[in-house]
Amino acid sequence: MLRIFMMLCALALTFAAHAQLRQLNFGGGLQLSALRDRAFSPLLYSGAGYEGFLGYRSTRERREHIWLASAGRANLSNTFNRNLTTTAVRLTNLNLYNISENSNFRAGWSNNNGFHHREIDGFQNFNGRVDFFTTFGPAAKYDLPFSFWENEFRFSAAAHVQLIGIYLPSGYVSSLPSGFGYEPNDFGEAVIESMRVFHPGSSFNAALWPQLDWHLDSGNSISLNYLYEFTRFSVPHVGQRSAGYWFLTFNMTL
Amino acid sequence: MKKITTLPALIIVSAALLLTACEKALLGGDPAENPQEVFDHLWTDLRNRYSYFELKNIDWEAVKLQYAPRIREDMGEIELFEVLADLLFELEDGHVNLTSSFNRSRNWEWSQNFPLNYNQGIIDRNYLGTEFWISGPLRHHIIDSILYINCRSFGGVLSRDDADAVAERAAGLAGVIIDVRSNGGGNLGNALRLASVFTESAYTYGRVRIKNGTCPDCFSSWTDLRVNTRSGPVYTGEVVVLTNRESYSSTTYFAEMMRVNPRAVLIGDRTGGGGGSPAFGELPNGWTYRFSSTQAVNNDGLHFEHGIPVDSEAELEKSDEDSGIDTIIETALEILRE
Repeated sequence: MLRIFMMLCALALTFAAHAQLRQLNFGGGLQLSALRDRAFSPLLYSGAGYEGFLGYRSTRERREHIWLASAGRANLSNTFNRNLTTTAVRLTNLNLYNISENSNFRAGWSNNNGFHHREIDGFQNFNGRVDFFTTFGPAAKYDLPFSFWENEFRFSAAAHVQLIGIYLPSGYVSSLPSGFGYEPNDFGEAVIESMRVFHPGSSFNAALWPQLDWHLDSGNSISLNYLYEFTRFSVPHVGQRSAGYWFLTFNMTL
Repeated sequence: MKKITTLPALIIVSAALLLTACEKALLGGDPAENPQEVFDHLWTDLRNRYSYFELKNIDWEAVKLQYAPRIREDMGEIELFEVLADLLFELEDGHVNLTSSFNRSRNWEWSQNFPLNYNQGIIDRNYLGTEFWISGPLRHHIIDSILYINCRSFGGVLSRDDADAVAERAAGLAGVIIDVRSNGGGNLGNALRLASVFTESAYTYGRVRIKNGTCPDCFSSWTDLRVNTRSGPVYTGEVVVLTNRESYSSTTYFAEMMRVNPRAVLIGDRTGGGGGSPAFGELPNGWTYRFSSTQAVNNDGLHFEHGIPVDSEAELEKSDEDSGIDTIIETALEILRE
């Protein structure tokens, strides 16, 4: 047992030694959101809210791993002033690799996981519609370090497109996914029955994430971020979400 | 370090700034809110998601042919509301409504065409009096060693403490009367909590299924409806439940919960129905609507939508009513005294 523990420690130290930069990122900001859930309404709901972010970035010579978790709420309304409240939690993972020597571009793959809850004012039963997805797809990132007024900055932009995965949408009528609530299932059966395949033509999720880092003398940095994400499901009802997040993060070098 | 004017950076910054203004634009605009669009949306959503067309033998296509000619581009909103209200009236369902800023359509024929068999004033004056207890939505008073509980609604919260209160108060008494006449329903959880006060063992009282597709017979599989036991006090004596045609929705469910209980009897009139849980939708002009989207049947296959029959019919006699007597409560008291 002790031997295994020592091996894990050695592996961790090796990992740390090879990492050129490891950062913990945390911050928050505003979101501007819009959605249309045809199970509720054909009308567009839009508005603003807040979002908190927690991330981890590991950058080595030839590859970069980015984890970004976020949670937030937004109050939306339609043109007739009916309100809708959304709550969302997301965990995104980007794995990026150098595509050539001395290139500012990295490419790789990504995994995106999202949970979304929306509740419309005045609707009683089957309110609080939810969906969850976990998906995979290509990702890319562009980095541009530069100096300005004797300060060091880095502009970067990451993007990912989700192509394949699974999602659990709300039911055809019920707010819970179809395997829950009105089916005599245990939890595992309910998950399997509710599961849909996320694939091009049926579902879509993509994001663009430009950010501007200002490197501090302490080795840490502060980032101004804009993250835009678009999500579309077509089963059992068409649901579309479009959200842009403006947020600041403090990036603590570990 | 590189210069800031690198072309890819400018392209990405420009794209980000463009997207900043696009959260709404990428989803497109709202549909037209003209009368035809509103009518089509309502009719189509009901065609796809309403749960009782077959049970009620309603030809929804024929209904469309009947009402579509009344739609005109230049009609006012009150006129449009009336056409849509008439369309929904065809469903003969108390869980179907159209709500605008100025009116709410409904079909209340499930109760309005029948005797009310209920007089709240008599109950307040002559049965509850001034000494009754209030436990959440339950008003209760002991009449000759029998606990009379009046429950006008299952809306709001019927707490565990409320259920404990009636169970403890009923302990040792000769019986309990639960009066759910003119209780239009509310939260099914409240009905279940009250029913659980009167059983020592869990039981199945029916089955439910929900629409899961556009076809008329697209439903989930049936799931049992159950009354579960509670950890608090339970009353194990005789119970009489009073119902009328205004006992609707969750109250219909409660009536069936109690009808299955071997220590309970139902007297009064058949409940009004309301077996389908209502789902909600919004029209292109901002009006909202609701409609039944589930089906529920009892253990014999009887649809809750048709109402729950009583074990013994009883009417509020006019002569008794004029004398301040509730014939149905008196009948219940007689049953429990026997």
